[in-house]
Amino acid sequence: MDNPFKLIKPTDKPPEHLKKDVMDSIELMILVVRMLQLFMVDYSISIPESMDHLFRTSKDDKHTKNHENDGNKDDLKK
Amino acid sequence: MVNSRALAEDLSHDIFLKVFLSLQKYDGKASFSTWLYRISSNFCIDFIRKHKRIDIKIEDYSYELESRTEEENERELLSSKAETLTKILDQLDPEDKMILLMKYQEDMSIKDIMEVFDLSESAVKMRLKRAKAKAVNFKTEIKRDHG
Repeated sequence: MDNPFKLIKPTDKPPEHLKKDVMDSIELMILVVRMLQLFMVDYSISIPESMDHLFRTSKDDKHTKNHENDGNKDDLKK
Repeated sequence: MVNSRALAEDLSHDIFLKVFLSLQKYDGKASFSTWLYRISSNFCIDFIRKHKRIDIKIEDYSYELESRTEEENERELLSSKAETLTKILDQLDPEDKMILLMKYQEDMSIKDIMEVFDLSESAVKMRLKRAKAKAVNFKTEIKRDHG
């Protein structure tokens, strides 16, 4: 007994133009995404940096300066 | 699945775009073909639900489920003529149609169907059982209507 599900299985192939249509749409989409990336700010980079500047205290500045000075002393010793 | 070549082409186009946009979500757990199947089937089911008014007769199938075993339903369904089977599938709701096509047309394993529908093994088996029971009920109705 033949499986009737196999008998009703479509055997025709998708048309050739379908592949071209899909690729054209994908290329257009890539172009739009690139244009958006070009004109949009990447907040994942800019927000942590601005937060760092915003909450920076004079104590942090002194700490950074001390580190820099220590580094210079080490260089002189060498 | 949608019974129209032009519509199938339009849907394929949209599905490929969706696949392209979702590529970064592919985690490699399932095979790529299963993942592709999942996107395609969900897309088609959503489309059919939105655009096709399906008159599903709300009946209590519990009697039919109890009166026939799963093997009997399977035998009955597989003994259908191609023309009758097409009519039966048209009357089923898209998820039932899809699961039957996956099992009996594409010969997909229960494991693959589980991944496509994101369901447990028992849930897939239950859906298959119900889909077969509904299909056999529709077959009985078609036979009765055509004398």
